[in-house]
Amino acid sequence: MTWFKLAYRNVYRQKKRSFLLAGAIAFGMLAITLLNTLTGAMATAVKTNFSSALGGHVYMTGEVVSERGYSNQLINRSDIVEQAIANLSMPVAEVKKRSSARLQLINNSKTDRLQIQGIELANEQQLFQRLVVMQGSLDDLKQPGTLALPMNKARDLQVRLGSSIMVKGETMTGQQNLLEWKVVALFRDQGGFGRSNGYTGLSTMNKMLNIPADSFQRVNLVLQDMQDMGTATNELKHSFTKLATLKPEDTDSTFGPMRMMMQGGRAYIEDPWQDTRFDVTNLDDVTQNVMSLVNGLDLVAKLIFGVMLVITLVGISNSYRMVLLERVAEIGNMRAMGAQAGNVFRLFLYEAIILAIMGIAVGLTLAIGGSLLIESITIPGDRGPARLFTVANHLPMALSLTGIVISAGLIMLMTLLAAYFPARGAANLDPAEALRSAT
Amino acid sequence: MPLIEFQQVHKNYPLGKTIVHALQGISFDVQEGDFVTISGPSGSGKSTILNMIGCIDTASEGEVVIQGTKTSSLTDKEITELRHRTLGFIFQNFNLIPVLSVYENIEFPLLLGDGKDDPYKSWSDSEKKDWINYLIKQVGLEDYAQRRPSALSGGQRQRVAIARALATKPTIVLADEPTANLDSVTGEQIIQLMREMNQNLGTTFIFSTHDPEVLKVADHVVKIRDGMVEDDYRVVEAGA
Repeated sequence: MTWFKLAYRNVYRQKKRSFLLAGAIAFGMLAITLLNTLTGAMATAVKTNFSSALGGHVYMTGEVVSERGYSNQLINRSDIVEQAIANLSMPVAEVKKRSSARLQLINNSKTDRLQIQGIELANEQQLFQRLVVMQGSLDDLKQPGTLALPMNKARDLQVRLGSSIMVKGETMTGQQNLLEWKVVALFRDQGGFGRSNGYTGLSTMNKMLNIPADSFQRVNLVLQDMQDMGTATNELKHSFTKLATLKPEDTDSTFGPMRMMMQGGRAYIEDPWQDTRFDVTNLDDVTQNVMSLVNGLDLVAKLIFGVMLVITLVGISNSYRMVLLERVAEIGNMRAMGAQAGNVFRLFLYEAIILAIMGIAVGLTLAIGGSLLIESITIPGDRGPARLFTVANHLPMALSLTGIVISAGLIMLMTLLAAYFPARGAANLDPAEALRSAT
Repeated sequence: MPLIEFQQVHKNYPLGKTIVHALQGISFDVQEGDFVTISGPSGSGKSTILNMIGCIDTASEGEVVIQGTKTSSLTDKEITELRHRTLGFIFQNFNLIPVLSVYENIEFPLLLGDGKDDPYKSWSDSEKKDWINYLIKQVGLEDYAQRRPSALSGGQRQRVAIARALATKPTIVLADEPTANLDSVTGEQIIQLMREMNQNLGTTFIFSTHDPEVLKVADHVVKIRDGMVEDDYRVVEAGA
């Protein structure tokens, strides 16, 4: 305790020296925390945006084999899906049954294509929070043959609220279908990277696809905790293996799950199965490629950090060596007065620990301030990376306690490493030599 | 039994390609309570002798015995404990810790050492405080207790060094040319102060000097020339 008090007094009294050393440590802490938070924010933004665009965290799709031997995306065993969801060990926030298709919208001479989602209005709270209705009401989608369009698409098609447009698409079996739908709502989508879907009632979409009104093509689960998605996926697969047929693992493409969800699939099946064959994917599967980009950025950031760490380590170590040279007389003096070599070593290490604690505290405070500042900056742009890596045009900078603990531990270790050799040098100084050099 | 015995001590050290024979078979004794002057011209080996008594340097040949203990047989830890328990140091250039006040500099040796035998280990905080204040008063720095060394004159700094050397109540205080950096009047005051402490506390003082005036106050003089004892005598009148 005495030596710790002495170390504290040395640090406190040598304000200039302490300021410089603690400042270098604070800079290291600031850099590592901000880098971690920034890459964490980007990863969170990507997942949030994809989750928002895809309407959930875990996705169940079903395939049936038609009489002609082709696979069609359809779930006609709602009871099995409900049983599998009931078997889950974690809480589920929303269960969304949907059908969807990429349809051609025709208004007089204007035409455009848009992915339209058929939804159950009662189970889409997350979606309704995201959509900002500019005109009309989403409640009107309860009426059959109605459609909600994003503002930009309505503008391109020159469609007004209340007007009817022609909607052209394919049924599940590949036949052309042309229907007239009424536009009941115009909205602006806050998520989905600025590439919003259009929305209609589930039964309206099923009519376009020519599938039973109470059937659906997939179920999206919104979990209360996104971290549970891996476990939820495995549990669902386990349930479907027991209750029905599970699709074998798809190894052909990382974009397979996303394509399956966005467009559906129709292929000739040589070895048909009975009833519905289920597949379960999750956000991690869908965002695999984008996340590899984020992870790549993270790796580059960590490499830069590693280089910075080495530079800081060398800087701190050199500073300690300079301090040692300045304090040779003091060390010789202490040894002459009866301080053991171990005590001198401890004194230097305690000083390093105190400086590290101060540096970490200051660096963390600056990092928190920096994070808040970065989060408050509005990043303009509705498309591309600006939209992908932000949520509502802001970086969702959230400091992780684990990240802070790891960063602080790393900085403490680095400081102790930088101080270790100078401290050992100080402890091993020959008192006679130290005193001679002081004269 | 003498407090310190030098038994045919040699000290050789390399200087470039040559070997310097700093001490060439020195023998003398110091009794407890002595006020000893080791005198001689520069380079005669005075500082080497003090370093050996202070156990911060070792003999190449021969033996230095302190309180009956052969210092050559001690480990680094034991030597450090011996230094802490038995010895106090006063340096030519004061060697005060610049960031500490006068009070803290004097207190500093009391914070060092792990020795269970140290008498002050059992002192209460107020006893320590009283002792430090007593020393400050003895060296005449009552009004400067909270000042840093940079705010003191050379003479005042050396007074702090004397008080610091006495803080652990050592048996021996070693002073290496304590007046070399002081003017003659201040130097005389410092020698007089050490003499008073020697008489008041019974501490053995051993100091090196090449100032013949200083010899007048010593009661034991060891004259060194070219690493050998030129003369070794007691001046009874000076101590009377």
